[in-house]
Amino acid sequence: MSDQVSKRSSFSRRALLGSLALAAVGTAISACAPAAPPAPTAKPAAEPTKPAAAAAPAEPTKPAAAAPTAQPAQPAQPAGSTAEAAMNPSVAKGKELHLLCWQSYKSDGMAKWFPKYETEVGGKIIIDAVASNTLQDKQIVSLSGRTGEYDLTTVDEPYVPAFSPYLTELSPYVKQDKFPVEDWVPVMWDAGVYEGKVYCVPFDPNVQILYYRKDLLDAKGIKVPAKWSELYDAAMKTQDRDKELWGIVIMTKRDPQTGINLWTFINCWGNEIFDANFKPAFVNDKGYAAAEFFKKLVDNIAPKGHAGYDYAGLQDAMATGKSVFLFNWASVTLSIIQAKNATVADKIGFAPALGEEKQLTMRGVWSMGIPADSKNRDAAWEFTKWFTSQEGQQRYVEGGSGNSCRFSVLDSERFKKAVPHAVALAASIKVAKKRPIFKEYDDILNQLNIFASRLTAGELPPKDTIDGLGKELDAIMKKGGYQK
Amino acid sequence: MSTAERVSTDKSPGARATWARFTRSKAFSGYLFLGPSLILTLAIMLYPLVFSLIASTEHYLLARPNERYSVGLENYLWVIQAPSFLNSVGITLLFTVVAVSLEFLLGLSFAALLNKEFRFQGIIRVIMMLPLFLTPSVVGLIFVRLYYPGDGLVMLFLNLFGVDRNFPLLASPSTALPSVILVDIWRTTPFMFLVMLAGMQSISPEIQEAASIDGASSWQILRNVTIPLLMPLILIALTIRGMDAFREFDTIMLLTGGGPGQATEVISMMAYILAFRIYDVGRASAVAWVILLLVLVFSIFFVKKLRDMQMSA
Repeated sequence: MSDQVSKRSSFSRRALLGSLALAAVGTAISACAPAAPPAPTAKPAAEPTKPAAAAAPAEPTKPAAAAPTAQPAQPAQPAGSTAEAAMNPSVAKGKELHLLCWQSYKSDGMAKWFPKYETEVGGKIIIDAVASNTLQDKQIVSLSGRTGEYDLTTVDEPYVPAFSPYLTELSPYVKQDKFPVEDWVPVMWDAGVYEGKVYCVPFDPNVQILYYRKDLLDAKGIKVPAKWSELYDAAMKTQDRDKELWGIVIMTKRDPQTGINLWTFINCWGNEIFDANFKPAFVNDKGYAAAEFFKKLVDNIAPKGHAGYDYAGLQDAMATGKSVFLFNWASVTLSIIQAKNATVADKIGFAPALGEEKQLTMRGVWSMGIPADSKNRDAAWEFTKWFTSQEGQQRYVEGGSGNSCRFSVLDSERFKKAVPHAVALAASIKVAKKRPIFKEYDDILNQLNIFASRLTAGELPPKDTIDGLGKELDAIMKKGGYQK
Repeated sequence: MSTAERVSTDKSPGARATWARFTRSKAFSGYLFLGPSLILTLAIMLYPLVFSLIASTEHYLLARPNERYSVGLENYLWVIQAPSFLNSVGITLLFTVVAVSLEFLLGLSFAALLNKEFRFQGIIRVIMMLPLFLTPSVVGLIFVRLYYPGDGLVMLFLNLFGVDRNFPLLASPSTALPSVILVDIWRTTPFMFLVMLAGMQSISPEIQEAASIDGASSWQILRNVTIPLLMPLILIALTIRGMDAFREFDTIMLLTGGGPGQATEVISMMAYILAFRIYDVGRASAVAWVILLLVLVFSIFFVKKLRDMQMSA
């Protein structure tokens, strides 16, 4: 009898342990396995009102990176002279549209005036605002899963190519409604176009501008820098590191912005990321010089704890008088000068993007896209017209969400009154550089982030950074089938 | 006679009787009750497993959904040869071994200290448990602020001992991983404490009293009586925590994003970046399956050890 009990007990424990191990392993798998997006099945539609759902990329596309760097903006149009696309409120009336966007000052601003859509058009907008680090995850999962969860999504321009198979092609809508494309700054309108097809309507252009302390530069009789080397010299003269007044605050942690910073230096020092054959074009003396400058900048004029700063930290440092310079996206201006803890808001000046051999800034444009699986595509298009109208764009700017892509808005007195950095912004937009239009953009940026972060952390010397980055980007281009 | 009736009458009386007996049995009720949850479990667990297994043998980029085709074991070969994979495995192992060992030692020590009657013991035990109630992402956000250069509480505290308060603990290659491990220790030591305390309280006091009468010191009782009796629990706790630490993701993602460079890029982060930043579902699935194999080897080792221990007991 005791033997039986012993056997039963032994078996039971073993079974328990086995179950425990299996359950734990199962949990591990579930946690580790990537989300399971079902294979896309939507077929392109033929009618102009229901544009094609998927644009299959048959051949690798020649990237914009290989093209000349900056595209000057076209001459401004007289304010308010452009006709708006015809609205068709009956399509949108009573329709509830779900919008996926970035939770930030942008969504906060939009939430203030979106209720007007209900009174002016008759539809309703439900905003699903998601934190920046999870927005992209949610977008790719819901778009590729074709869940039909969203009718609209804001798309940051680098992701337009990757998301294009899952977005509604808007070209037929644009043509049908005589959408006033001519009122868009061309280099900004391009942000929503991939392989000649319109997938998104750009509404919020962003370029980097220079924020500087007018009082500190004036006190030393230093003119506002136009080049990075001038900024370095000015910072060396004005900073007071013992009192924790830093020369510049700049992102150096492992973050997409750090990769963009290295990219900007590489471009300003006269290099492109890729040549015409899609091979890395920056592994040369100019590339090494750019990386050396980035390292010198963070070592000598950035805060001692530079690598610990996030976006909020950079803005806070500028608003509270802890830095002489900040090179950042123009859209954060209001959140800096209107910050509750801002102590030097009235002493901050704005200047166009810096140069060295070339003057340029990376362009970043938020656009409005309509998921191909939306059941309310026509209504979503009506909203897009309403949202990107001149009045919509003015409201967007006044709500503190960002800027506008439209000439008529950029030139209006209303815009200039709402945006204190209007002059610097307009000058920077003119030297804005398109990012390369690759589906592998994220892979490229990930490598830039890693190498830039290793450079600024002192883990890799500048030459090794450039050499290593060159090898990784070469491998990505080879894998993507771009190289001849 | 309809086809259905013919089929029905074609059943042999023996089979009908067996079926009738089965439907009246307790086992049938058991299967009936188990059915829905079993189907749900299979749907939730099996579908992603099978999907990711198939995807791991495919060239499958979310950005190019129309170019999906089979590549055999190519993704696995890429994973094994990728320097970033070897780096991630090394970091994950280091993180797991250091974090779990220290959590175990601390949990055991706290349990030994608090395994006695004293005033406010309930309050102290609840306070000890608090970190366990926080989600990993909340812990990550809290420690981002605590470690923040300049005015983070941890930095202000370290400054008292002469450490530069502007030092970027999370962004320096030499301190990033230890800082992340420290956060994990803070968060999960209570789990070890809870398990050890429960184990200690289940040990009969007579055994310890007998050892004490025989002249054993407190340390000798802990080492030669308490720990051997706790061994099965210790192994289970180490297995669970080990697998947990091996899959650590949320907190590290929020604290360092895998940086600086790839200094804190653990293996599950590599799978995440491949899937959600590079949209390479094929390679991400291959990494996920390699993680599964590694965790399986790890858990088999501990389960076998536990079984051996039971057999010898």
